[in-house]
Amino acid sequence: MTIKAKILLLPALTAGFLVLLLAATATLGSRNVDRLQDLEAGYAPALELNRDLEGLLGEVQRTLQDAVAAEDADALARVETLRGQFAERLGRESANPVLDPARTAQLQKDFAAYAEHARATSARMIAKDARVGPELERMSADYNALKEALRQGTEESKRQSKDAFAAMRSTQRSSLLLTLALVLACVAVLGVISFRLIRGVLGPLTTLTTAAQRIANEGDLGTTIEVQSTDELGQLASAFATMVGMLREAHRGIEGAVQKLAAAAAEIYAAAQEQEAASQTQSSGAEEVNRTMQSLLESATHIADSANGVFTNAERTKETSASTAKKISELSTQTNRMVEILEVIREIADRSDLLALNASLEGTRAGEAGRGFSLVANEMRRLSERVTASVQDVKVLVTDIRSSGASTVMATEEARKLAEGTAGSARQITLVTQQQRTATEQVSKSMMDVTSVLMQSVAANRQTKRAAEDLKAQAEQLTALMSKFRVEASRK
Amino acid sequence: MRTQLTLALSLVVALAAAPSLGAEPAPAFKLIVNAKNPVASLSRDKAASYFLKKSTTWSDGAVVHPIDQGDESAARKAFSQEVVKKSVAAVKAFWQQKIFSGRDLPPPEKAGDEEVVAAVKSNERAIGYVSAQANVDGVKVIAITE
Repeated sequence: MTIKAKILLLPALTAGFLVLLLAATATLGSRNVDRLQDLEAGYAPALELNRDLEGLLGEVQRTLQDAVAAEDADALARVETLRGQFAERLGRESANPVLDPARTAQLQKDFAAYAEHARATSARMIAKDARVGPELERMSADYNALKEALRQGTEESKRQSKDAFAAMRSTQRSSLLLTLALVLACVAVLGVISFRLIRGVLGPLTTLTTAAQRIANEGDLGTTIEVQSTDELGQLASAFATMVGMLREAHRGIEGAVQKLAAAAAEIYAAAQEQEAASQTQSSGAEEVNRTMQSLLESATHIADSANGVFTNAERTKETSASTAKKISELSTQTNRMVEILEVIREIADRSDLLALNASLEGTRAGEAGRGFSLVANEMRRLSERVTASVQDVKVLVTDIRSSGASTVMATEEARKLAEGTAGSARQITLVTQQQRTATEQVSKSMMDVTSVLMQSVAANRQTKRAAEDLKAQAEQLTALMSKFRVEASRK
Repeated sequence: MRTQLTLALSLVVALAAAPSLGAEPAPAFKLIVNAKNPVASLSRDKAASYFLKKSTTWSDGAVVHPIDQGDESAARKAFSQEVVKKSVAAVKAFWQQKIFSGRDLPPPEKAGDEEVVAAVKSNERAIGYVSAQANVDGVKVIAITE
């Protein structure tokens, strides 16, 4: 049964009870209306009639008594008037539905007879008839009978009115009791249904509220929701349970992801740290390289300058070598003349020796006077020999010089060639150095760029590290947040 | 109660005022009952109440049958005056009221002492009064006490 039906059941039941109540009240009420009509048109006028008739009877009695007391026979005539009034009063009620016409007629007859008799008896009393005693008895009996009849009529009307009122009261009471019973039954039934309805609604609602509060306050996603009803609340509960299950699954997924995220964030952070260090190292390395490149550039400039110096020197060496070769060639010519001169000297020496020998011989022959001469001649001979030997030596020396000159020429040639090579090399070096400088300059420029990029990279790494730090912190926060949820089945 | 007390007091006063109780002349009537009636005397009040039918039973529970005399008789006048303490007219008015209200009837009236004596003789529960000179053979005369 849906809640709508359950809720509609209450007014429907109430309406049913109200209709029942209305029907019962209407039925009982119409009965009371009948009774009230009886009372109004029947019992009440009948009562009034009986009272009036009693009054008339009393009037008759008073008239008779007054007439007897006053011993006034004429006053008795009024009894006739009263009799007429009695008949007329009775006639007025002939249409009363609750009066028995036979009884009314009898009453009329009895009253007429009594009035007649009483009047006669009273007349006899006035006339002081001593034998009136038995008539008095009859009169009294008739009077009492009439009075009793009227009293009974009054009593009857009263009783009937009372009965009617009692019946009305009873009906009223029945109506009241029925109303009360119906209302109580209605209240009881509605109470039971309301109670069940409320329990049916509040039970699942309380369960759901408790579960929702537990999720909200304790993050308990492990809570189980048990609602048996199949109405809208039951559907809500089952949807809630499904939602909680989904949340649980989502939580598990997110928890795993968050753990991975935290690990990744930590890794990224560590990597960023490393990278930052590496970047700094790299940056300082690049600066070093830059410095080195600057030195290299300076060195290259020096080398170029030096190479230029070398080239100049080599050119000079070449020239020097050429002039050396020329000088050596001149030396060779002069050496050849020296050899010729030396031949002359040697010949002179030979001749001097020969002359000295002859002079010695002549001095020996000249005896003593000649000894001194011989000595000088000897000495001259030794000098000649020595000159010859020196010439010989000089000749050797000249030969050596000539060979040395030849060697020197060759060496000079070699040196010139070398100087030429050196100059070429120096030119080459200058060229290469020039190129090297250009290249180094480019490298240096590139290195400057690299440094700048590295600086940027360092800054970027720092940012990366900060971001990784943030990421890590957020992952930790997320983990803390997720730890507020419990997914395993908890108590209850 | 108050009325009775007042009545008794006035009686006492009346008695005290009387010149001499013993010197009073003998009453003009005699109260009579049936010979079989054990009653020897009645108080004046009791006798009056019997004749006004205010008391209706003897001390043994039997119904009292009072018998009156015609309103012209001297005995009745004397009885009314001395025992009932009312005029005959007042008594008659009393009875008319009783008659026409249908409540009671006056005691039967007998014409003369003889008829009363005869009636009392024939009725064990009867009580009547006759003149002082009447012949009361066969009935019992009872005393009236104050």
